[in-house]
Amino acid sequence: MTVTEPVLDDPILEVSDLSVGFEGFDGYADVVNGVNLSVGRSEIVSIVGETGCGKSVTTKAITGLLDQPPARVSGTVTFDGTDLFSLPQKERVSLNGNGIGMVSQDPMSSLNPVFELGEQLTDTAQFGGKSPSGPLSYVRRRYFGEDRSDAYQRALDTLKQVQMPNPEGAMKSYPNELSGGMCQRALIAQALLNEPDLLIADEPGTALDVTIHDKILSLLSDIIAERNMSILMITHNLGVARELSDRIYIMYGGRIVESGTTTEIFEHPKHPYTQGLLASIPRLSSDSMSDGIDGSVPEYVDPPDGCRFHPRCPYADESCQSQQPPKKAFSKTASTECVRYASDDPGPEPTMTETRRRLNETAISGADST
Amino acid sequence: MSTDTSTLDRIVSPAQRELWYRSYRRFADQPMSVVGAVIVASVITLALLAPYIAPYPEHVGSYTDFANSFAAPSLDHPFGTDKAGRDLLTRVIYGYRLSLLLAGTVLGIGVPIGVFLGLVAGYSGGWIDAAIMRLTDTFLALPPLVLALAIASVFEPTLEIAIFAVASLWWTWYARLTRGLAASERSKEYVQAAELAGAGRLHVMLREILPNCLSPLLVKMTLDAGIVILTGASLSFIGLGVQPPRPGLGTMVASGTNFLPQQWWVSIFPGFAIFVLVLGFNMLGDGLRDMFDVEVEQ
Repeated sequence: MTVTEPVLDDPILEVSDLSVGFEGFDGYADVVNGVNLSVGRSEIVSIVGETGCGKSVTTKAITGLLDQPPARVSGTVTFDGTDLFSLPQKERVSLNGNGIGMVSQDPMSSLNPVFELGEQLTDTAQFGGKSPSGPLSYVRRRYFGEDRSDAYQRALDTLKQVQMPNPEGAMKSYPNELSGGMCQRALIAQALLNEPDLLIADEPGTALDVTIHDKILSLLSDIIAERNMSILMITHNLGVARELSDRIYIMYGGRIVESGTTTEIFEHPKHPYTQGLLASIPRLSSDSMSDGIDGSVPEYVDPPDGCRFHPRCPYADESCQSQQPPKKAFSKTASTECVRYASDDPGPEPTMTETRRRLNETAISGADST
Repeated sequence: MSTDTSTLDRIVSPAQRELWYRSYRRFADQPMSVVGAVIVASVITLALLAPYIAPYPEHVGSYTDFANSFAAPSLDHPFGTDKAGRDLLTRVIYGYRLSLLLAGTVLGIGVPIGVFLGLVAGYSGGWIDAAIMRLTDTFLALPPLVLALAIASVFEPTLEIAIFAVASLWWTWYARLTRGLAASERSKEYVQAAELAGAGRLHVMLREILPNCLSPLLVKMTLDAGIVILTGASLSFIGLGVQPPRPGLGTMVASGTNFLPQQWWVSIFPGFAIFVLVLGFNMLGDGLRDMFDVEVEQ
């Protein structure tokens, strides 16, 4: 089998060969390196990886939030048949909100501190995703006519949908008077107001404590079921990804190292990084702490040659250092980038048990050598 | 009574009033700022009500009463009289009118221009930012008093020309301040959230960024009002601002210098009037700064 992207016939979002780099003082940081991914209609897709793997940068590149320069973005992003990077600014603005909505990861700082929540949400409901139409019509719609009160009502209804406690009171509160969970709900409401087809959720609820995080996630999954939207979710939590998503992309060092349906990823993890991530989920059944992956995410200014994971990989050998491993597809949806699967006869596939054992070994030998 | 409260509640919610009250407490906890506010408020009242308060309103223009020339301060003329026998208290009160007019117009012209340019520069970045800021730098390189001197000596020296000259330089500080604030605001998450919700450029600049830059701007405006008044008085003092017989404070100080120290009141009282007003604005500005808890480059 060959290339697997796009896995769907009619994806709503298709990212191909997306690369993002930043021009910095100590050189060029190659942060996202040739990412291919796609999100189907009413499909929930997660990107999973450690902090610093380029997940958020990928979403920022998709939504056009990166300043160029210092960022350098190449590749193509196609949303619903339109190439986003060649779209004029005005149409891009109207696509945001209507087409793509985003829930960002820090709820407390994502609301404007000087306006009441109701004011902001009403503004979003009334003007979000409309291409700018001149100051006169702005003033007319903002201060005269029924438009404003309709928008207010719509904002209030959306707040009720996201189960905001005391929505009328919340509409009259400033963001600093709301709790983190309430701000997160307000942000979800803001993203939903103009009914986007694709919602990008960048680690929703991570900034909150686990109980609220859980509530936010179940709220999200309810909304997903209700609205039939497509979701691209960013998370570093495999458990969250497993619970919510249809397909998962595993990202490491700015590349998609493995992809597959949720079942494929969890039943047959192929890439050593995926196996390491799975091995590092704490287990209640064992006495010991769960195994982590040694080392940390690579430097992007001078990334490791070949496979970017090789310095941390328990299976690495010389071939990993010299060449970028080719992408190998296993099914219509599953693929991975690892030299172990490159040849036609790769020998016995490593299993989770073996990965755990090897991770333990490297951890012990690493501890000895220090 | 109960109907009163509910009407009040309908206009301003209790939560809002609580918020205002807390800001007021922060402001009022510093005696200095209250004194400043009282000074500024009473000077503005004096200036507005000048025709009704001033004891001899007819003494403002080219009135002469040489019989009363250089009368020392007394109950009839608390600040004494000048060479032409005009009551100095009256002229100082009217002088405040001109000073406040100068400050109001200079800031009224300079602040909107500077703030708008700064917003555009800070939000756009890139070559637009570079172009606007280099233009600003060019204007900043000229000392305000010197350019005002140049402009005033090219044209007929009047108050209006002085206002124009000072205003043509004053926007630069606001452009620079706003640019810095806007550039740091634009990368805040709520600005990005607004952009992602599909907000247009103008909306982001005026509704997301500007309101969050307002408190440093307000503080700077208050502090600047005193400096503008001082600049205007300096111009008047060297004869390039308000022309006699109009009662400019700086003009009056200048005209009294010939008669020091015998007829000290002719210079000292107008000079003291300038001092009190500038001090008032500075104390008020410091109070506002503490209230908003902002850092303003001095």
